[in-house]
Amino acid sequence: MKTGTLKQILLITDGCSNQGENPVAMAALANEEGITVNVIGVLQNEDLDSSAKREIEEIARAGNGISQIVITKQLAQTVQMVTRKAMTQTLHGMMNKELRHILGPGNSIESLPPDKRMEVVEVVDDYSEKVDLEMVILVDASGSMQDKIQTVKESLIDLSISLNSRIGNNSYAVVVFPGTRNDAEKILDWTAKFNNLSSIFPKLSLGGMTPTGPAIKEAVKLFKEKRNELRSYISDEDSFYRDSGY
Amino acid sequence: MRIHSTGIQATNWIGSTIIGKWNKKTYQIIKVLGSGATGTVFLAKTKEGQVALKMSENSISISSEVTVFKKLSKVQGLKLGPYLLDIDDFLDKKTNTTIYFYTMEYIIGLPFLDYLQKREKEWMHLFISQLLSQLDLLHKAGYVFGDLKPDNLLICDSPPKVRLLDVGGITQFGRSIKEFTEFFDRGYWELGNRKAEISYDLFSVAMIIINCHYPNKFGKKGYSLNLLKQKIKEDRNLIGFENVLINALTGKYQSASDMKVEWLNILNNGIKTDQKTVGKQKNNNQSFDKINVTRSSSLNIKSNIKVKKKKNKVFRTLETILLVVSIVLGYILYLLNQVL
Repeated sequence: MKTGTLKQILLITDGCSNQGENPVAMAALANEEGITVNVIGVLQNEDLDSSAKREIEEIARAGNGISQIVITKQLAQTVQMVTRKAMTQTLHGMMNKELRHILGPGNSIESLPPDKRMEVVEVVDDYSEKVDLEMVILVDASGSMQDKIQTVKESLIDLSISLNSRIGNNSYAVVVFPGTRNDAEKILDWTAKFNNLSSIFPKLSLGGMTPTGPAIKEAVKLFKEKRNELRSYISDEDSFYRDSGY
Repeated sequence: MRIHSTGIQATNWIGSTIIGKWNKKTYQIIKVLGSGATGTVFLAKTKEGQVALKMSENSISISSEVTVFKKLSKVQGLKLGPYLLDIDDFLDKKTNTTIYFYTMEYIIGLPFLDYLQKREKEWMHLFISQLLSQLDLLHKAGYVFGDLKPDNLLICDSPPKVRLLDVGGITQFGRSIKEFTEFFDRGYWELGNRKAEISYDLFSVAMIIINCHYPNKFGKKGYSLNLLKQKIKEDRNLIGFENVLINALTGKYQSASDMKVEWLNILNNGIKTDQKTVGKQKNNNQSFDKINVTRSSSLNIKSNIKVKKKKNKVFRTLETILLVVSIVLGYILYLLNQVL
């Protein structure tokens, strides 16, 4: 099984999008590129606008990911668990594809007898420990997030403690929406560690705009840029060989 | 934390009978024992007696927990939590979904903190020592318990013994801890990462001890180590254990048995922290004296061992002489016998 790199978007928001492209469509599009979209809805107390809730669930479904609604206090642990679970789910899906390939259509991990299933699950566990992870975190920075942003920051640092305890490599990028100039603004470029994350969070704009769709689009762009960087690096090497006469 | 417990409506299952698809065993569900992020545990009746049955819609979490069970069963002498009995699945006809489950031994006991509430603190001292011995066995097998907290400790009576529950967090050395609880997690306190290492568990043990004296827990504020040190100093029952606790919190111990040795040392030298003392200052001084006492008494123990060794030496030479004499005597008798 080739695992390559897992590509995940983690969207942290507290409400409905109201600007730019449709976020559900953008999530589906991201999934076409092999990217999973997971959504965490943060709220101050249990009550949540039902349309916001529906949007959160639909984005995750379209992005083949997981959604979870939490109260601010529980955010740190949820961010960690959602990310973990999404990774396993993605690997699980890949494994099922392989199984169908070997055993024929209609087969999946679930249809195996318990003993065999355990063996497969062990392999999945192993991969989720060792696979490389690329993750773009989208943080809703609209006015209503004001009193939650501190917890979001702490949760992200906590997430990096967990992910960096894995064997596999990680790289993260952080995008806030709306940005100071655009709908979405990259505040942290691809990096392996969330150092001084606290200093990079800008002052939140106090407008009513929540451009969730454009933010997902920006995230997909970041994944592509990363891939291109790699490609140009490889082709550079190729040209080096050519130049030197090999 | 509820992530995928949405599927199993716990109360709906009470009174129903389920039959495993593969092993064909029958279970009658009696009541809910507990519910967590990875599924619901029920008490169930079988022909052979009562068992605990864990159900989940998530085949992965059930399978990986069973994998841990199976690996642990190979560890000699480790009586860790319940024994695994069966693993199977069945189709829930109402919702047309497959439900995965495993069954394990049903252990009767009291939750750690409940048990301690009504009893003398010696019991806590004992259970911590027992816990460290169990952890040492687990560590020697190459695993870390992970989600170590009072909720995962059960006290079985006569004789009272601590048992570890919930194998869900058990992690192979070097991997990352997936299940943890804020107060007992060194990552939360920013005093380390979440790699499965011996020191991760020992940190949690220290936090369990602190939790015994601060039942309502407390949150992160400023630099964690200073806060924890302060909390230890503020409790007169904890101050005597300051050294062990700080060592465990800062990852100084190489093994659970190292921590146990120091823990027992303090207990053997008697901490009389319950003595009425006037003011905190005096209390602090007293604890200083105690630390010194601990050191000197550990020296005493060493010298005792030396004395024993000397005695052993004398005994051994005597033994050798006796042996040689008896062989020579035997030979002489044999010779005499031959001659005559």
